[in-house]
Amino acid sequence: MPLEASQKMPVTVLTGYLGAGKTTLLNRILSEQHGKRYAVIVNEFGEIGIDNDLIVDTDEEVFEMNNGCICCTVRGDLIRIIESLMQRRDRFDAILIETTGLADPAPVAQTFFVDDDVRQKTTLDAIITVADAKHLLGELDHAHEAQEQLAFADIVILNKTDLVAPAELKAVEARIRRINPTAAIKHSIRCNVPLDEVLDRGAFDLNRVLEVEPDFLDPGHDHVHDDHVTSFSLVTEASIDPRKFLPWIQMITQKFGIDMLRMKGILAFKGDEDRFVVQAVHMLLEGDHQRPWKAGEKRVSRLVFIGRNLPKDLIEDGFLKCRAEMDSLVALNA
Amino acid sequence: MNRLANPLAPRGLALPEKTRQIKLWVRRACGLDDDVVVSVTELACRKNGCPDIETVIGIMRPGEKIETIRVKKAIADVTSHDLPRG
Repeated sequence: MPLEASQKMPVTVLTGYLGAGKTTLLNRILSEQHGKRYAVIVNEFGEIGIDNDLIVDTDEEVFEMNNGCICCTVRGDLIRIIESLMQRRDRFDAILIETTGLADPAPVAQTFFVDDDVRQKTTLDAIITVADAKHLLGELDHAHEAQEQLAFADIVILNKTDLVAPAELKAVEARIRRINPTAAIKHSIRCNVPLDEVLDRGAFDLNRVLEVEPDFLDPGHDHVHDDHVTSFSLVTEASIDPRKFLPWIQMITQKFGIDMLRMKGILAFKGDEDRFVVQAVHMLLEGDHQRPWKAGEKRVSRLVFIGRNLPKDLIEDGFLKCRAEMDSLVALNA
Repeated sequence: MNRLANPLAPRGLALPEKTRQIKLWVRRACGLDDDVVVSVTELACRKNGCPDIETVIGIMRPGEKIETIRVKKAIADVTSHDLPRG
């Protein structure tokens, strides 16, 4: 029998560039009393200070289910290990996956949406990216991996904040925001964030899409960085025509999915009392009605795109044409 | 309210019983040991040029590259004749 969503094993993915502090956070999760038992999948066995048989080491093994299609590429090693771990599912409450500093987060995330066995038994809870406040700006200038790890994050732990001056910290946070305006940013020293703020978040649950209000910078802010990954948001107070929007967003996902790392949105459809939410990882797109609009809640439709060189003007123009009635539309740059 | 059919509705699980059956056929046909993981996935890729629907079977032998079998059918339509003979 398929498991109910609440019975599925939650999986947290821990990413971050080399030396950011992933292992520090992992050791905290494994050693502190928080009432949950974790099975952990790691790449560097030796760095974990705890030894038990629920800590499994692995080598990244990319599995292209459809030759060369990035959207159908998953991690074969995770499929194997999750299959094996789930035979001992009574011994733990959740799974934590630590990726290498150079890992591409997309195949990791897609494993939980594409592979039927994995989908049946587990649910992706959140992607946490640990970033080194002191070195992040330099890493972002030189490593696309560092940008993509931020782009995929639901939560960014901005670590080692004691090593930078307040003005530098502000600049680092602003750079993160330009890449990913929807992630929750938690400041930390030696990853000392409250664990209940990063675990069990349900970030991929359609009921929680855009729970964190996108934080866009003042458009007048400096744009000196030519980031490989950028983001933008489209907002309108006009109601949206679902007959135009649904085929359009599928077309956009098909056409630009390879470069669209993540997309999230809330839509106010004309004549519909419920909010409609959408989210995508590359071409993996899903959407559904969420909850009724509350009395007095402003019916604003918003889409947030995070990706590589996405044609903002073209996407904005298409979104504009999905309005049931013409109204003002504001596009904000990140 | 009269709502349109939702083409973005989250994908349901593809027939767990049939998936188990396909795994069994593959295990028998290929003579696989218990330490080999078999993964069965129904793909509906949005990329141009990809089949609308196909079943991808991954045979994951320890320490070896994943062997892939592709059947251009939905999981529900796969039969033992679509799989390699042992």
